[in-house]
Amino acid sequence: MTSSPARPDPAAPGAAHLTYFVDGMDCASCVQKVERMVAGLPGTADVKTSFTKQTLSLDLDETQTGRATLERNLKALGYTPSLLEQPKSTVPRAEAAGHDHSGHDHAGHGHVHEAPRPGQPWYASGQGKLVLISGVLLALAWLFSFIEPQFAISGYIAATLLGVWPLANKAVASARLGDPFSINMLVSLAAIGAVLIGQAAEGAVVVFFFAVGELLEGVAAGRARAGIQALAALAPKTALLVEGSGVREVPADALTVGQTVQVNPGARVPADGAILTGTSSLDDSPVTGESVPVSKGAGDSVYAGSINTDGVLTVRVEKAASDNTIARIIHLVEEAEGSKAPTARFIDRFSRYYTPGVVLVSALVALVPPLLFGAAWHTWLYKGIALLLIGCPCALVLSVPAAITSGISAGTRRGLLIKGGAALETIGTVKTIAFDKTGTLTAGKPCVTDVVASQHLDRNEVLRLAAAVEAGSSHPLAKAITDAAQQAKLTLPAVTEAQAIPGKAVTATVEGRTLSVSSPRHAASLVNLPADLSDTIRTFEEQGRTAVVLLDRNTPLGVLAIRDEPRPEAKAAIAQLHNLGVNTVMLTGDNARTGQAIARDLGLDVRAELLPEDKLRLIADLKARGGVAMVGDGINDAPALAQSDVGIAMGGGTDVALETADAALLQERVTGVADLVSLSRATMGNIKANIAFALGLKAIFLVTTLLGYTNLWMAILADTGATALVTANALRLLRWKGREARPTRNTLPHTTPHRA
Amino acid sequence: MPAITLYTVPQCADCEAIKRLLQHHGATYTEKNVRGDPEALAEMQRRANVRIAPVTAIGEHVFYGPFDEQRPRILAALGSGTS
Repeated sequence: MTSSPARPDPAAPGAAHLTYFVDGMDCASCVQKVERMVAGLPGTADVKTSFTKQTLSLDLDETQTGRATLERNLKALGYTPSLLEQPKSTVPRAEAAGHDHSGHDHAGHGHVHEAPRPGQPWYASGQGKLVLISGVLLALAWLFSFIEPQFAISGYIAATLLGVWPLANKAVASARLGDPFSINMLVSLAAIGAVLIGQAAEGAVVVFFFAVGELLEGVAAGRARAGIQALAALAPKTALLVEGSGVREVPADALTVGQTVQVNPGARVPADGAILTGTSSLDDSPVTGESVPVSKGAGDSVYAGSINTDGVLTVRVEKAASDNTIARIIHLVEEAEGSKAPTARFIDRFSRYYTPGVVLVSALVALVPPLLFGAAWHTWLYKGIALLLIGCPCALVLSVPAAITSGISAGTRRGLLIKGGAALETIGTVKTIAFDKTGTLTAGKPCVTDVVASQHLDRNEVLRLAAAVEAGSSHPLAKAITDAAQQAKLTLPAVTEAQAIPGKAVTATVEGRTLSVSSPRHAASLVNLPADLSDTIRTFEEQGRTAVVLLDRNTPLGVLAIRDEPRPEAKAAIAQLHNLGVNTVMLTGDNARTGQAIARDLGLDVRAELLPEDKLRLIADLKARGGVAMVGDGINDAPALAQSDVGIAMGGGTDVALETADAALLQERVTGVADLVSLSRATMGNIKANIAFALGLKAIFLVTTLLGYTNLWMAILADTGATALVTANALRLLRWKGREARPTRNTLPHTTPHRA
Repeated sequence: MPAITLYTVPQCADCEAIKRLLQHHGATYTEKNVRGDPEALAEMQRRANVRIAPVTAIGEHVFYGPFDEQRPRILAALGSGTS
């Protein structure tokens, strides 16, 4: 750090004017968090943040709060300050002063774990150095205990103080933010108490193992992260750039949007793009986790890192290397794993009760017998401190973050992108999962299934006229009709005066006639539909199809039935969710009969004819009744996704889906929802098992130590063993493969997702 | 409708709030994540002369600061833009 101890500016007597560049303070809420913390320190005044320079300036009375303390507090919050040499006198006043919005996402907890970056060995991290130095001190002190016990005690005290220093600072930082009972506080109290009663060795060992525990957690996180980083390595380093008539090899990260590359059979796709020529099967497993190759042709999207199994492709580059899907996924996962607040939530909630409890019990044990019963002070003071030491939860602090990190990594490798510990924690607990219909439970590609002509018209004539009317419309139903006409090789007549009444009808003049394609309800409000036509419409709708009526002014010419086929795996996915004890409901704006027919086929509840605001109301309602996850395409239903407890986007890595939802299914498969639920439950189960194990062990040693069967050393060693076991247990989640019984996945003939 | 650019960083509540606000008003906008993207950061600094997200650029108007402060200005800019 650049915190060179330049003498304070003598501008204000007793107070130095300091300006820091604060790395990581790049959002408005971060600014607020920093300002609140700094303003709470004694001796600070005139705290200002510059939005322009990302700097923090303040007047600091260093007799009350040291400069080092301020810097450490900032670091404890996750920001790295660097002191600027020249204090700026004209720092532009930030607009942020005095704003007040609800305190979200403040990291009130103490431990900021730095995971070793890939390539950085564990001993090079700050935590690693701390562990090494205090370990060496411990070893030296232990050796001296055979030669000269006086030195040994000094060594133990030094090791304790060294180890306690960062913990105590974090504890003070948390206490200033209104959380005095952090785990760090407990460990600090215990270690200092141990020194005071002359048991520095025990104190040193507890602090040492606590530091080891934090280091192990960093290593575990690094290992989980390395699994994700390996994905990045799958994108090839070079690409075959098509130039004129030839092909030239260039670095993949030099490709720019709009260039054309050639991908040979067996090679990996160098960039995100669209196929220009060629057909091939592509293995998209790096991006979607789905290893069964998908057949793709001209116009289809391909991802960097996918393997081209057969056929030569030419691909138009659509994303630069830094911005391709796989890079974005890796970035999001790292963000998710790095987001400390949600990851540590559980343990923070827990320590709010645990730490005061342990402190209270220890105080009672230390004070009550001597005061009330005249017992020996030293004996009971010792027991009280012993309790504090035993209460230090190395294994506990590890259990939650390690498991969450492993869970997120395991999910990513199966195409389940989870954006943070909070989402992972919540998905397994919701009572209801709501699905959007179009594009989620169905493929989102409606097609015409039937054409019924009234009177003595030809069916193709009905299709031809309807397609002509719809030719100018981009509505999905319109597209289905024009596609059908194209397939039937019909030539569409020219139209004039086309106009649409949204949600009701499209009208146009075709070959001199005023034709309209209308919803059955709108048609019925204009004309009396013949009974046979009404029957046909009802039959179609009961079969889950959407019917439209072709009218020549007020004369019905025919009916077209359009169906958006459910995804092949949707039914199995719903059944899996029911097996997991989750309620499912389909939300759709479609008419009730069509919606019910599809929902009946798939086996879930339905709410139909919903307007967007109805969906929001329903979600809020379900949220109040045990929580709800909403599954949608992440584009049309972003508000509903945002409103729900967990928004899950279905979609192969579209920007919007990745951005808006809490979790995304990168393979477009509904079964991913059930996988998410079981991964969440597996992770939470893992966490709870870890906590139960660590606490149970504590309880046993607490009692046996108080009764005198075991001593402090055995208790400390037991906790160390528990730390290792808990870490190993959390890493086990990395091998999570989804539920074992998965007949639908292995026996279904694989249907490749098509892209239009 | 003037072009709207929103400069954000991940995990930023104010940025999310502005996104929701723009979406709610049916405004289309380009979002640029300035964390780890020096080009976008430079662009944001050039337009708003600040380094801290969120920054909302609507046509000629550029706003920064927390959501509460930006909200009325964004709404005003959206209102004048559509008329």
